[in-house]
Amino acid sequence: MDIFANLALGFGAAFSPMNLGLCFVGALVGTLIGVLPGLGPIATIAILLPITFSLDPLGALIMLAGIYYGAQYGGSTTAILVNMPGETSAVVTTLDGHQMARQGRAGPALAIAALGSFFAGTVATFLVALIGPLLAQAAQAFGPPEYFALMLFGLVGATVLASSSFVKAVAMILVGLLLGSIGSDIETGAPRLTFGIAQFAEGINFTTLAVGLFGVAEILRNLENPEQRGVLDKPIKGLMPTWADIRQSFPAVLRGTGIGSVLGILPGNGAVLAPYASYTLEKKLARDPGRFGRGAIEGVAGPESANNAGAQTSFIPLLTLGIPPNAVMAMMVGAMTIQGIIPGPQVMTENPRLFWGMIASMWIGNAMLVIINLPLVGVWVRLLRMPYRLLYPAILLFCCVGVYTVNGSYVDVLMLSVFGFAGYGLAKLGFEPAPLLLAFVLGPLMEENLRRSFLIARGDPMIFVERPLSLALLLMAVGLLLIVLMPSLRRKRDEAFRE
Amino acid sequence: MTLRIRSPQDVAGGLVLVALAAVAAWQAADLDMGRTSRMGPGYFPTVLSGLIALFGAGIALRGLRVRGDTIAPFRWRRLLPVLLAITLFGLLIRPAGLILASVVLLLVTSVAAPDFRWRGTLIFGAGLILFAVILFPILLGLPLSIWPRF
Repeated sequence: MDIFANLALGFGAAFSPMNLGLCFVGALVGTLIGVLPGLGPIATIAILLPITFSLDPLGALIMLAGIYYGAQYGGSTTAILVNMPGETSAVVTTLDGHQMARQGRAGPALAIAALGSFFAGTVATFLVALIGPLLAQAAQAFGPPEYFALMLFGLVGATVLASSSFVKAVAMILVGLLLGSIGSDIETGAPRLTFGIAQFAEGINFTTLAVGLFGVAEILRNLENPEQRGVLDKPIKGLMPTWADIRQSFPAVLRGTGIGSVLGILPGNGAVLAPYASYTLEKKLARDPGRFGRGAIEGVAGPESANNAGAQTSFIPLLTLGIPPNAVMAMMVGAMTIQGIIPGPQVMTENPRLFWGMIASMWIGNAMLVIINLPLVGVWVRLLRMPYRLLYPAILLFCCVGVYTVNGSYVDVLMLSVFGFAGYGLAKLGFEPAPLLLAFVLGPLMEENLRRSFLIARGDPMIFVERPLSLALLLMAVGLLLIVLMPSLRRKRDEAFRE
Repeated sequence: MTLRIRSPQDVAGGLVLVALAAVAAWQAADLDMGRTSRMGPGYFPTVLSGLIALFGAGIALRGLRVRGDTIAPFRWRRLLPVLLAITLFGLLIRPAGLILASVVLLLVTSVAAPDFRWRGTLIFGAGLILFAVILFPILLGLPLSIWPRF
């Protein structure tokens, strides 16, 4: 294996002063949005896309990736200090993390969260480096039917792991596919569903849709609920965990890393589900489950490791197969496409510096995050005191400037308010936008591969079952569906989401 | 038999989907369907509209049978200023430039805050616009005019 040669190449690329700087900025901005409520990683990446236009592809991707895993770290800071998850994946951390803070042990809770995340990030980064090339090689054997089956599997996964109702998640996928088909037809160039509006000929702008559904809609929802942020007034003293803390946490960190790594690769939002799975497991394994919810350090260590491992490994399907497993990775596809890179197995062979440089930067970024999070925790606490009435107009300004500069089109800004309202309405009706965004990105690819498959097979649908790889992927999709539809498992899944 | 709506959320959501499917099907009606072996541009959108209508109807019907959530009220007084602010920004950004468009955006949207205060908004807003002007057109070189064009 020349994995070490590859990693050396990657570190060489990532260690340029420019890329180190971008990695740091990404991790810092990620932490910031993780700490501040009301802006998720999807919206942030979308808003910052225009800023990356002037960078080279590697630098752009390094910064955007940094935002994503930075948010996973930052989210835990507010979860522990304020009992408010800055990020959905940090919801479980509030349970025991905030209890620890109330007992005056905020320091060790923060330290274990950061160190556990760093450990998980390191392991998961190596996993990406190990599995990536193997999967990319396997993908060389993929034809149109396999790609179609793979994307179908991905979409099924997105519905299974969506927390709202299954039927509604499927409906969101279908709407996403429909929105994705707006614009000129790939083969004939005929304008589709454009209402005769010239600006729609190139399709709906991906950034506009994402910022509207995830940025503006989030602001609209937050404005309804006057928030109470009870920032911990006690000064945080002593970051160092005791030996007993470390001994208790280490097995939880190991298990969390394992769970997170696996769930991150699977389609759907692994980084959101993984902490729940890890928390449930730790509670089951604990000698005294009663300690959980009252400041058990394993309840912080496990889930925090799990969400960070999941965040790292969710890059695997994107980098090797070109298929984003969740909505954040769908944003990365958008970023890569703007840079002129078509995600897929060919990236690794044609652009090894980019592929390995990004992997190396993940490890560097994780190391930086330990520094950003621990000694600087006081800065983040002060930021938490910023009132929302000042914060949201600032976020909105960035949304508008970002969306406008993608194409320099004012119509995109007008559409932003349409999608913002749509996202707000969807939430009121109990729909979730994440599957929609994923389907929107996959839609054109799926249609293309479906059309090609039928062209090869002269309209015979058997082509999807005759080829073993495609059959295997379809069976996996059916298997996932059965899992959701089986009543006993379904109840467990609902319980997991309620907790 | 009288119709009882047990889940207003599902009934409304389902109907919205059916309406969306109807609009899409109407737009796709003129497009060439082609055959399965050689799909035309209309094939994919038409099939999707059909499926969306089916799921929408299913969700709406379920809302008649299974009890579910009510629809939380739309808070128009919070909603409209934000949407209006974005729209105004879109209309102003090209003719009026970044500074004026930002001023309008920040003032209109700030009104939506439950605890709106003039002083803080003006001071913070001025700083924010200065930051945006330095960052976007100057440092990043994004194609935004700072002042109005005549």
